[in-house]
Amino acid sequence: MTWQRDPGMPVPSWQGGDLHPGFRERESGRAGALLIGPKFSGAIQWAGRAWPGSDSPGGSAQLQAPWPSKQFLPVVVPVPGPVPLGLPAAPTATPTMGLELYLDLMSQPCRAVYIFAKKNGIPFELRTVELLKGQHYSDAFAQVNPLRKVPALKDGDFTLAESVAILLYLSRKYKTPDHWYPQDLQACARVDEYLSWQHTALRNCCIQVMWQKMMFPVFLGEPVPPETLAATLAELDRCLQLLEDKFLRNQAFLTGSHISVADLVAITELMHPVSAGCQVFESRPKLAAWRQRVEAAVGKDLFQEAHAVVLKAKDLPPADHAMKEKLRPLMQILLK
Amino acid sequence: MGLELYLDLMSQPSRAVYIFAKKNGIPFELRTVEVLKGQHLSKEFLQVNSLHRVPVLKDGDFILTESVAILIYLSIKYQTADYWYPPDLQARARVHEYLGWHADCIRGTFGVSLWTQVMAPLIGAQVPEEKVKRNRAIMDQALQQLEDKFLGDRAFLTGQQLTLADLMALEELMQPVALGYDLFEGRPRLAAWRGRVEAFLGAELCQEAHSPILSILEQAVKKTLPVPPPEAYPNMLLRIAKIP
Repeated sequence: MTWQRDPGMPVPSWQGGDLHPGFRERESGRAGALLIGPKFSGAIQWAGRAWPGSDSPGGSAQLQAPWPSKQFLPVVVPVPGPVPLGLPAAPTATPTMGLELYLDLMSQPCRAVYIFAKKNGIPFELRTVELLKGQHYSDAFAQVNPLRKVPALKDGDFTLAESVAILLYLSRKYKTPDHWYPQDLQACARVDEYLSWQHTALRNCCIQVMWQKMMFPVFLGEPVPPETLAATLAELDRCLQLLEDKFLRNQAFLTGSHISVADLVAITELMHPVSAGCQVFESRPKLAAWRQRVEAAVGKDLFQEAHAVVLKAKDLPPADHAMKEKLRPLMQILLK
Repeated sequence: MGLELYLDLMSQPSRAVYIFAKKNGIPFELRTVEVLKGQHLSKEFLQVNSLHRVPVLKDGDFILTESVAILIYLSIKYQTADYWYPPDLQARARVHEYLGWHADCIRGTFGVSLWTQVMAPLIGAQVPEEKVKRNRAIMDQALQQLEDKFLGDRAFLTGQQLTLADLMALEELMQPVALGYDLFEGRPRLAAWRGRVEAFLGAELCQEAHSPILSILEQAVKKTLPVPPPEAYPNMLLRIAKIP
């Protein structure tokens, strides 16, 4: 299945189309959306406040261009060295790019994709998309992923969003060792089962903990009612118990005796509350042992490298007043 | 014992599994687990799924939860036609891409109306009107994205052929429809897509799978719905509290 370029599609800036800033420093408000997930940001937009820069009042900042279907660029001009997205590059002759991964290591699923690609020696160009600077809202990035989310992949003409889709695509295309996503019917089903469960369970929980325990007080300077935080931490506890009892059980890894993409997805999720100061592993020896095994399997250096950004999140400079105001409707949702 | 599927046709993912198995002629024993009667909390069912949730697959000793995992497992084991879960690298990636977005934006959101209109009142709980309105707005936004980002001008959500993505989506969208919100009205592209999916699955199979949920409002009005047992209340109240 190939995607056809719509002749009516606007020519992107890096192909000589209209130049536009695309990259806006500290685009306040929008920044929060990606870190809190689309489920919450949908709720925010209902709250009636348009994200800054969105075209319609109360409308979705995510749907700025009329995208009748997922489009993609037929070719991409190679830009020298790492360049922040959105800055137009001078159009030149166009050899096709290899694999590009659009990531922000602040985001859990991005870390899983990063670790997977690096561990398996998959050659790629890293395109950093800094969520807290609103870079995911640039028109340039919308060419890669009209849903304006990270992680996103661009492989020649093929663009792909969603971390699970990306992980499975990479594992198949680059023929990574079987244990990552096994061929065996039942072993594979176990991985699918975990990947599905975590998406609607552990993920949101880890995001909420991150925000309530750290981003609110530190970044936004807003207090969180202790009973709210307590309830969120209790939910995290419940998820961790399920992780241990239903998935890990007495196995070395979440879906069996070998590491798989399920473990990568899980560990990167759990590092979110860890970076917020939660003692996720200290009181859970079984999980702590599993973590050691995962780190060893991935490689300590790579693990540290992937988590350097999020582990420094607590040192982020506080948000300015404008950003705080923009994030106010979000706070209500995240503080439920 | 052959393949067993533990399902409740009130549940969207259960319906997707049911329709898939039936459409593909996969032989199975249907084990109905009526969530409204609290059957998902029974000791027997606990042996099958400690998470008290449906759907669950039991294939000999192998027990599997999560509808997506079940659908993929069935498609591979029973070697269903390629289009459901295409072998082509990119086509398959598109299915997973949709399912990832679906988990964030569809799942959970489209199930809320059953809770606000039927389940909460059944146990005497109430959901504030503000939350009901918010849910409607979130659904509308998701439907817009569904139409624009996935369906577009195509016949189906990830291309010109039906896949697991369409089945999962249809069953979620049917939930609010059954609860009185005709979300296909005023959305001709989506309505046309629904028509294509149902035509492909077959009117009879759709009727069979959808009739329990389609009659739920009527049953609620006539007060013929089973009243959930007290042990079901804590989980139900938790679920209600989680509505944003």
